[in-house]
Amino acid sequence: MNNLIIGQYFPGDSYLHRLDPRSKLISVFILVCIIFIANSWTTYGMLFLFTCISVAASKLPLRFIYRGLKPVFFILLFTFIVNVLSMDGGKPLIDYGVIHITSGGLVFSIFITLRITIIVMITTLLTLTTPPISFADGIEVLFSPLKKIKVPVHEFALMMSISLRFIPTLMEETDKIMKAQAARGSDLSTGPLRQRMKAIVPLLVPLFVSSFKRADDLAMAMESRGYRGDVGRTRFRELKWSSSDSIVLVLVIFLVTALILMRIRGI
Amino acid sequence: MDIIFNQLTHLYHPKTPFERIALKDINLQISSQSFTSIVGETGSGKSTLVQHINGLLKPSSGSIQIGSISIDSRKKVSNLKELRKQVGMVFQYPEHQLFEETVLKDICFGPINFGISEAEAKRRARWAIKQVGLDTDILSRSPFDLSGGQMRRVAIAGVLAIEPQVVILDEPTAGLDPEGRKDIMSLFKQLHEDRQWTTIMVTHSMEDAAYYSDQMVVMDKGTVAMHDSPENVFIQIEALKKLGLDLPQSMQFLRLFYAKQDLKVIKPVFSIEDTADEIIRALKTVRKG
Repeated sequence: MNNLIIGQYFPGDSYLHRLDPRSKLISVFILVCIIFIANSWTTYGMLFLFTCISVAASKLPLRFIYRGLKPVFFILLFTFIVNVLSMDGGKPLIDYGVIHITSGGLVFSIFITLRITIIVMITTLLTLTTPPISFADGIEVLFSPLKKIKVPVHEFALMMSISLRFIPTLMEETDKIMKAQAARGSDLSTGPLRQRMKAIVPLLVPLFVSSFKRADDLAMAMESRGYRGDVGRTRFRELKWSSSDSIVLVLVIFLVTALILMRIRGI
Repeated sequence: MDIIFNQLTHLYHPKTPFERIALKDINLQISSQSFTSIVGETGSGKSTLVQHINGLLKPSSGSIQIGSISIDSRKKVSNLKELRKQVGMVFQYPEHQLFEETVLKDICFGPINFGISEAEAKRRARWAIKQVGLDTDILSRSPFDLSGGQMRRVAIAGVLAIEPQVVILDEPTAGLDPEGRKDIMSLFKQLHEDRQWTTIMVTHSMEDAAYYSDQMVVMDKGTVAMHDSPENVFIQIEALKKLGLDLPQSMQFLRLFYAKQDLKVIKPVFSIEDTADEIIRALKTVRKG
């Protein structure tokens, strides 16, 4: 249960940690889109280099980046193999029965794999260097223009921060109830699949009950402290846009322009 | 059943940056049919210790022996079910584990998991519900319609119905009113004697530990600091203070009373009755002097 990396902020004080969540979110969004423009060794190389520099700037142990990549490792391998076998073009390298491997197909497969790797690395980097709460704050601010067309942005952001806040609580609770039911002879971790599926009910029912109860308590606590939604509400955590945020955005825009130009010129 | 901890160490999150020693080199023998209270500050390893007794946690090194079953860090425990059938565990806030449509089904959940026939499980459920002081009418109701105190009793009945020989109580009275506390504790004491349980209770209440148990284990930072009878533990006032523990209220009162009467002696006295006797005795000595 402890190797779940989503929402697992790794505390630190690096350049990336200090950035405003808004600039990080915008940059990641742009980069994930722009990856689809890359189509050559140079362009992929540039993007990969940029990612590596970001990883270095985050001062995170490489192990954590690796842990983010591990769950998608099979997807990577699968995509690579499927593409290598199905894409044609260039010189034939291996031609043995059903197995056709061409140089063009090989290059294309490497590109696709690299593309997914970069996307996963960048998003992992975002969640590792941004505390979940400021992540939710950043999203709320970025989507706030939608309030004009009556989208409940504040409520969505609140829902997001509340659910993020309660993930550890829920995990603790799950562990506790699992143990309590195990002590009564119901075991989730052993036995045939059918039996294990049945053992999930005694776990889920108490979890639902306590979650609803907790939600009720939380609503009561918020109301008793005068919570009345978004209107006229000031913020406890103010987001601060600093010069380094501008620098990062300029760098990203520069990278995007370069990539687009190179794509047009066919480099 | 004797329970023997043999150089048992438990690590949380081993081999990660979050590694933490929860229990360190525990050597402890809890003898059969004793009523042992485990006390200690929050985070001293009380719950971790008792969770080893029914195999919910495995030792990182060392071993634990429960009757004829032994668990160590290496092998996969095959007779876990047999162990859990003999070692019942009442968790903190046990009412959180209720899930069935009716009280009867919920109480039968444990016994049926352990391979008891349905008829026998129902018979046990009726017996257990009477033991915890509830009416058999309640068996057909939904556990979620009951009051908090009733839910707690139903959850306890669910453990009783397994008919364990060793019973672990993890703060069984947390969150109950004074009357409920007393009822539940006397119920456990009664069952302990009637069914010849080996009872192990984790508690923050020095009064309960002093009054109900015959052995006490004092935990401190993952080690056993003391293991003795309540009388011998509570006489070590200074040592207890260093471990962050109080005296039972009866002794706190007597201590202050003696100090005001310029008497030095302090005896381990736990019940209201004994405290009254002790005051009379002390007053008599004062008058004589």
